[in-house]
Amino acid sequence: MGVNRNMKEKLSALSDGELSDFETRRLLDEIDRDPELIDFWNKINLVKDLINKSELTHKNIDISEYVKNELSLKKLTKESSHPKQKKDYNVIFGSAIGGFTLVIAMLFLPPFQEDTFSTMASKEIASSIASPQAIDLLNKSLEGVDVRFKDFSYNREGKILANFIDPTSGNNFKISLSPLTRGLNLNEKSPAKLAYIKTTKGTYIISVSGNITDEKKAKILQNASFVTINR
Amino acid sequence: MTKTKKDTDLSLVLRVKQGDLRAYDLLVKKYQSRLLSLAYKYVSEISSAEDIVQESFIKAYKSIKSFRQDSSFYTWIYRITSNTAINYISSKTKKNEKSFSEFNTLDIGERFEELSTESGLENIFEEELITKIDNILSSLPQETKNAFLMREYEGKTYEEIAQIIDCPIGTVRSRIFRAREILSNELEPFLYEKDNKQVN
Repeated sequence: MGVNRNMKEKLSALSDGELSDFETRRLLDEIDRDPELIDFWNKINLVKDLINKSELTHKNIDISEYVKNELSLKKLTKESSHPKQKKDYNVIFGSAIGGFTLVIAMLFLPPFQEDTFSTMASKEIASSIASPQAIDLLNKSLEGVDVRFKDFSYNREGKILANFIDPTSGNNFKISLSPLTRGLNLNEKSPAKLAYIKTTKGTYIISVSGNITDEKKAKILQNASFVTINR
Repeated sequence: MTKTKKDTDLSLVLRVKQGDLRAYDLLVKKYQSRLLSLAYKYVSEISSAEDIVQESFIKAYKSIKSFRQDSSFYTWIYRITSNTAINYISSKTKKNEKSFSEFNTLDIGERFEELSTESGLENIFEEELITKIDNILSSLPQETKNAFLMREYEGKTYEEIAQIIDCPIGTVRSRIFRAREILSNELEPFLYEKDNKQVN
């Protein structure tokens, strides 16, 4: 039996609900490549209808193309309006972490100077809270990581700390950002993961520490670096 | 294992639940003409019937995850189409109460005549088709015909048929396919040529 007839036999079995999930999946792939199979599917179902004496007054009308296009369009619209966001952070959460996020964005401000950084951070944090770009930036750095925001703080030296909870384990962890010249004093029980972000404005350290898996730490850092590099 | 008729679309429905539009396209193609006939009974207007069926399929896809397979997919989509048609009529009636009643009183005689003529032609055509199908079935090899009839007229599963005629399931599958292949080829002129209502 040729490939095409073999597939047609499978279509016949599918119309009777006698095809396994695996075979169904393979058959659907095959249908994409061979339009003749769709034609055969239409025919066998019309024959079924005839045999079951269904009314076939409208057998020549095909609405399937319209339905397919509508659904493809809706699917596309839905995907583009929810671009891979795993979490729906609420407004309060978004606004609060916006402060932290902006510090990442501040990498693009003039190079760090000891006497101005904290002032600048305070000033910028205030305006960042309402910044959708800032929220977006942090959301992206946490994309694909199942975490819940707790709170954040910053000090006069320009170090920003955001606290999160891992909902699966209930453990806390932190993300911090500080200029390289400030040094790093994490003082954490669990080892931190670090990333150095070198920009034309200076070099910064972003770290993730606390009781979450190394995999999650790496993922956050990778996302943050990626967002920064692509700004 | 005894399968019932409600399992017929299960593998496609499972694929649709995973977002596979290709599987849904097959379900649309499978049931569209039956549902168009259903919607047409409600609205007596083919373009409205098309709208209703299109809307029903879109609604069904959107809520496919809530379909728990308590009934067959066809029963489910049939119900959705009926409800959509009823809603369509009631919204249309509210909007055009006056013109609707005018249509009913002024044109009803003419319209009845038109519908009777159409359905009369269809009945003749379908009777001819049924005779044609009987002839084709009679010409099939006995074992092919038996397997096909048990499947189509009695709704038996492949496994049940295999047990009855004492042969492997694969053989049942091939025989049913062979019968369908012959029927599809022989009936092709009737399936696609709407205006050519002549029996060869």
